[in-house]
Amino acid sequence: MIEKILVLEVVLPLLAAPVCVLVRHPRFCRLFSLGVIAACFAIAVALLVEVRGGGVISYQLGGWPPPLGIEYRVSTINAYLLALVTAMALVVFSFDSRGGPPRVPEQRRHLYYAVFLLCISGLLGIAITGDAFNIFVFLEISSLSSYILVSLGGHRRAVMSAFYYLVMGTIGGVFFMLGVGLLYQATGTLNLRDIAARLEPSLDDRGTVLALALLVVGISIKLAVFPLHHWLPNAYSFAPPKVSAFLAIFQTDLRRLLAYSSVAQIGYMTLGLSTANATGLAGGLVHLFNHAVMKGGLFLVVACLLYRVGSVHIDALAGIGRRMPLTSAALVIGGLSLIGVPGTVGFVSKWYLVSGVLERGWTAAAVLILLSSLLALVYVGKVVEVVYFRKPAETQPIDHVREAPLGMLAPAWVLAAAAVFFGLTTDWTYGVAREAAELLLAGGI
Amino acid sequence: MNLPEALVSSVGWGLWAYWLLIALMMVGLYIVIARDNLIKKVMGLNIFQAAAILFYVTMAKVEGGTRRLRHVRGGRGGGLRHGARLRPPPESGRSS
Repeated sequence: MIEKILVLEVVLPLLAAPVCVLVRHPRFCRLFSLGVIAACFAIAVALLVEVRGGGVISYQLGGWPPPLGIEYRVSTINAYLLALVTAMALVVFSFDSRGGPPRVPEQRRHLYYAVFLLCISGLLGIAITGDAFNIFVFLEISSLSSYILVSLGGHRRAVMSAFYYLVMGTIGGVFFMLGVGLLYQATGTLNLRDIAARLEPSLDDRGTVLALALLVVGISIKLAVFPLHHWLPNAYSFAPPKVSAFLAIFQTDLRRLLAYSSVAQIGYMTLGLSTANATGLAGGLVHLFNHAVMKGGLFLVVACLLYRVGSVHIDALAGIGRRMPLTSAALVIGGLSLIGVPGTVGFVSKWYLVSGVLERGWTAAAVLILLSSLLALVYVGKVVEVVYFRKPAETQPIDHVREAPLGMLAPAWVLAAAAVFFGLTTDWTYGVAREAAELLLAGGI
Repeated sequence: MNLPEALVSSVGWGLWAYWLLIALMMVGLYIVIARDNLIKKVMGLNIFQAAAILFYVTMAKVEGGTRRLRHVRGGRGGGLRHGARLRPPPESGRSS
């Protein structure tokens, strides 16, 4: 039974997208997409409950057995990612309650929902599939729809950044595809588990080394841009965490500041993965979740500010804490979490990352993580200082500014509350991530 | 021995197709990076992508390009399984 449901996780949003295009009614599309995403979230949670404790669910598409057919395979790690993607999609989606996404004209809004659903089905497909080439296919589905989502920003510059995103994304995608091709040459199979079993990690085989190099480069290019499609394209993709944390200090636009900070956070995750021990790997995975929660919350706060103030330039936000106390409080919680203050999610993941790095004996890297947190303190402190303590400029009166509408505020606060909640209880975040990390290291994909 | 001959003897005739593809791919990538004209960038991107697709096509034509699959009864799920010799020694590697 659960195997049949598993395939719906990808098929539902994939089929719902054309339905949105055909129906064209914005309100219907919104509710319909919300329903589909909620269903996907329910399935992901059911899968996570099912596989917790080391279970594996496998589904063969079209009844073709693995070496030739495509296999969907869910263990703890996949279920964790599925739940993460669907949960974030659900919160972000419910954010649009005030008549849909701003800046997308009414008559084209159904297309926005269709593209959003396609993007989600691509991301879910990447997480769920057990076939290397299938990953590439879903990567392209999610990338192509992300390019469109970026270009919907409404600004002239949004179109340009969508174009550069497309160029980078395509180069990354082609590298990934070449890597998969070389792996296929070396092993004669595209099934991930078979590849893992057949591949001899030897530096003498030039084809394998080249394949892995291409995969690393391709995925790195994609990583820097894929989770945060709206702002990151403008940020430096390859700056190391400390550098980008440093660059964030000099940013005056809140969105760009957060984007640079994201590059630093992605650096933490990669560092966690590269430790290749259970603590560090789990730290990296848990940071994936924690970062989604806190940065998602912060971007929603930015959207609230943008809606009411009309600008998120740091000077325009002076004294806004008095006019929008709830929004600003959420901003502070998210900021504290970015720094890694105990009691927030940021602390949990940084704790395990530092432990994992120290377990490995990389003292310098541990020091860098802490230094980078100090830099976060500087740029978060700058924002908090402006929002609460600086007097509004004479030229930009803020008397007309009111608190953001409930439909926008509630999702932002859900994420802010989650940032505190998961900072205190770690069973469902670190617990699951640890289990997934141990499974991964034991070779059980 | 001049350079082309050295290349031929070290990589074998069969792999010339790959060298061509690498050249094509680099041409595409160069256009993407070096041209400011957005249309030209897209054209370069297309060349780059086409080279990658041709790489997949070439695999089937180059001798020894892929490992062989063999039909085995009673394999996992009763279906196809890979041949026992997944890593043939270098001399026999090009003899499919």
